[in-house]
Amino acid sequence: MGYIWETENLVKEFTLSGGLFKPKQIVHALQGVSLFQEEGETLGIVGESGCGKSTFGYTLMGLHQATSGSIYIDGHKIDPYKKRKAVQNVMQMVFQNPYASLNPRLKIHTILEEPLELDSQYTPRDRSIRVKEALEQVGLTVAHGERYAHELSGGQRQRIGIARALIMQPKSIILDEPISALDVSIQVQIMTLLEKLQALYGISYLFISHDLPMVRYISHRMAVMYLGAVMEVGSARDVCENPQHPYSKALVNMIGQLLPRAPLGEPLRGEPSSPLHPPKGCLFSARCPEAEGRCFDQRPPLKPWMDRYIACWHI
Amino acid sequence: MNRDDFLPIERDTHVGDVSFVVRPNWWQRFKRNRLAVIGACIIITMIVLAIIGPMVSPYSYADQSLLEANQGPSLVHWFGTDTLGRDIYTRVMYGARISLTIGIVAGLLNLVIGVMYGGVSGYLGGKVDYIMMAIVDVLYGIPLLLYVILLMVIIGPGLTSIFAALGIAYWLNMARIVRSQIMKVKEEEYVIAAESMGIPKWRILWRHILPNCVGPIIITLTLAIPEAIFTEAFLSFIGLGVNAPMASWGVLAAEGISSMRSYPFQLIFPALAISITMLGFVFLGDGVRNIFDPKEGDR
Amino acid sequence: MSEMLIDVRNLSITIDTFRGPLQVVRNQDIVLHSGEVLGIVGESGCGKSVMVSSLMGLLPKKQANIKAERFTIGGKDCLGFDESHWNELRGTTIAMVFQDPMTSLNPILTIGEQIYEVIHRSHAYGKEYDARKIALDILTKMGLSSPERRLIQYPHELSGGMRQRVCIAMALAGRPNILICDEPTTALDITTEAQILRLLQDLAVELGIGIIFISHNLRIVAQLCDRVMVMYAGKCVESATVEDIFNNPRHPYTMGLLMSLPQEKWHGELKAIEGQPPDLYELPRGCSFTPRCKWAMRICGKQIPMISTVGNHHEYTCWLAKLEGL
Repeated sequence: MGYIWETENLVKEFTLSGGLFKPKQIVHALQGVSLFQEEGETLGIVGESGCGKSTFGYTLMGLHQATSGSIYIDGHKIDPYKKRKAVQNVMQMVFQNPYASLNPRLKIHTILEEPLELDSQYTPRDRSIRVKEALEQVGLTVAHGERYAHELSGGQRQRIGIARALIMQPKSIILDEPISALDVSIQVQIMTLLEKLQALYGISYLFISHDLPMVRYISHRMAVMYLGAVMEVGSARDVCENPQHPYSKALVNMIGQLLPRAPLGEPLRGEPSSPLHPPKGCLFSARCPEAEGRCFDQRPPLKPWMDRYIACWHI
Repeated sequence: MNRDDFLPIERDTHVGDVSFVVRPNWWQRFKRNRLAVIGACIIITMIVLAIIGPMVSPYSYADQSLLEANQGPSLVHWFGTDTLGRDIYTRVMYGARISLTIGIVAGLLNLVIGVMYGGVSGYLGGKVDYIMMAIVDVLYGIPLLLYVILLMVIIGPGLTSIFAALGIAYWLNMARIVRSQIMKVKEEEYVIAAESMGIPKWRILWRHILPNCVGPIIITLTLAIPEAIFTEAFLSFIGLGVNAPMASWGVLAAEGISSMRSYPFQLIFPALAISITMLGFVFLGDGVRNIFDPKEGDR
Repeated sequence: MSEMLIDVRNLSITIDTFRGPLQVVRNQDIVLHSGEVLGIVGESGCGKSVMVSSLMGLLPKKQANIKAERFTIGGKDCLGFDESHWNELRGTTIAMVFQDPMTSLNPILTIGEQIYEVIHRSHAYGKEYDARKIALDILTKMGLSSPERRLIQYPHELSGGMRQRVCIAMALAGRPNILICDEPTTALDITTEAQILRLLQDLAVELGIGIIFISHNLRIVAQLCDRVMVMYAGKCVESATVEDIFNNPRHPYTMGLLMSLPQEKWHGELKAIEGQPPDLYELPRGCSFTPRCKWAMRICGKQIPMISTVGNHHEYTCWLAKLEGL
């Protein structure tokens, strides 16, 4: 069975030019990420800020140029060393901040029409029909298309963001923290909308978020990332209910229960290591309660365990 | 309060809040801003006067009549005459041609060279930006006066060398402002979103980035035009500008100053012309900025 | 009963905006006791931030019109306070921790200088004191490693979590008995969030101060708070002990919020509250929640419901309460 996309050992490094007399610094944003997505499934990525989860989405979408590694989209190898033209018919992206992701000077229907204008097979009439469809798919009406972004509420704007992704009828949508800027009640509206769209059109999602319960809720499979690498990947249920990697365990324990006076989540000691100087051994070794000898010297590979993959020497 | 009150509420199934919005168009929005309308009127009047003003007057800007020197404003000489008996009204109107031409040329230079240079530099970024901005920094470091003097030596004094000097030095500020604004806007999510949709670069720059830089561009422009007029006035004032007997507002003010105590009108009329024109540009700029900002529509 | 630190009755705040006066908070009571953690929950724009800003006297005098029957903070009537009175109160009686630790510290002063300033302004230490020693004590209590080094560091040299610890240290340096935390962990990572929450919980127990904790994260509120106020469109719709709110919610909005979180630890289905939060300029008639309420009745669209009380000070404003009597 073919994957919609697959990455092999994807590495992304950003160079910070320090100026004339300072040495250049390298941010290790992705340190060899191998993931794939099946058709119609939701793959969740969780992790703290700076763990590379958004960078992964951007690199996959072709907005960043990978340093090394390969990306296959729809079975074709994409040259990751060049900034490629986006693969808009296969993948689309929804951005984090609904207030910043819409051009304030264009009407909504102009924003939605734009990608269609590049495709000569659409006549102006086809375009407006397609825009109407997309607006209705996300629960809005043509009248919303006549507005500017600032005339809509945050939830409505994020719906427009989703409509824009839908308009090219992609197989997969990358959702980069799609709900973190929204209010609780609106978050759920967006989540249920996403579920509905998946049920109707079989779209796959790459759901990137720091909100573990929400990722667990929407994802079929889930990857836990730390410092630019995948620590554990498997079915969302397995990872959340029976986490094996010490970092996944810590994340799950930190959430705590939604019960009055439930004990607060167990905090993890220390701060995340800097992606400028990642540890030599296991990336999580600096904070891991179980770290010992070998963990500090050698980086553990992502190994299969039961039906998931875990990068830890203790498994 | 009775039992009926506690029955389920009847709701409009019709979605209430979405109606087609009637938004004022750009002309209506512009009209609503009174200062901008005043500004536009001032500038249009000035341009009309510059064109037909000298024609209406029976005198020419160079006609001397020593017998009529230093007369006050009268029906014959509306703004009075100067020390050589030349009609100040004619000279101010004639000066308007020179000053406004300089203002418009400076504005065009800003728009064309400044915006394009800054736009390309900011959008491409990296090494290109580094080199392009280094050039700007070098040009910026040399004072305008030096260019003018050097150009005078080569081309000779007159309008041409002033234009040439403006051409070298007058878009630098705009280029810097446009560049920094574009640097900011190109990191915005809607630009990244457009990129992710495979929209070509030039189109992103033209449609998504530049329109969102319009505010600062117009503010810079409305400051740059009067500044250019002022610079010309200054250069003429210190004797580096247009040649006598041609007169720009700066030359007129310079001449007026020497007899400020005895004949103040000789200074007042050209000075008024300069001030009113500048106010006009500033007011207009404010209004034009509002036209380009869709958020202003609701206020 | 413990001491009443904040006693505000019938508070209304109107703010002049370019679209005319806007009533942001309507007839609101706020009571805070010592040793208590009061959680305030609500969506953005529900008036929770404006309300606590008024408790700090931080609203601009010209635009904000504050009316209240009673407005006492730390036993002092603050209604007629001018800026100098508020300055006296701020930092010494009541202090605040803001959402974003990146912007709430002055980038050009060292941590030490910023903490000393608060200590010098406070009267709690008498005339003879060693500001450095006090600052070190507080930083140690905040769980910061090597506090001596922190004193001479600048904010940008610290991570987000450490900065928020410094902010809390600064807030507590004046020995206030009320601490207001406005979404103190929203800008932080999950791992750091857990650390800061632990810290706040320990402080509440150890110092016996009253804490107002504003958050949109119900999970944290459940774990941390003693009493909870749920706000909607400038008004508290339900206020009760944390047990009552989470085990026995009465107001449809509270129920909706609880339904919109993954129910037990990992299972359950999410149910959204439909519709948008109302525009404060055009509040619906009657109960503001009517357009989004599943159980809305005719009366809800006509009259504003009264406060009903059940059990242990469990107050809520909903017409459903009157339905039972019919």
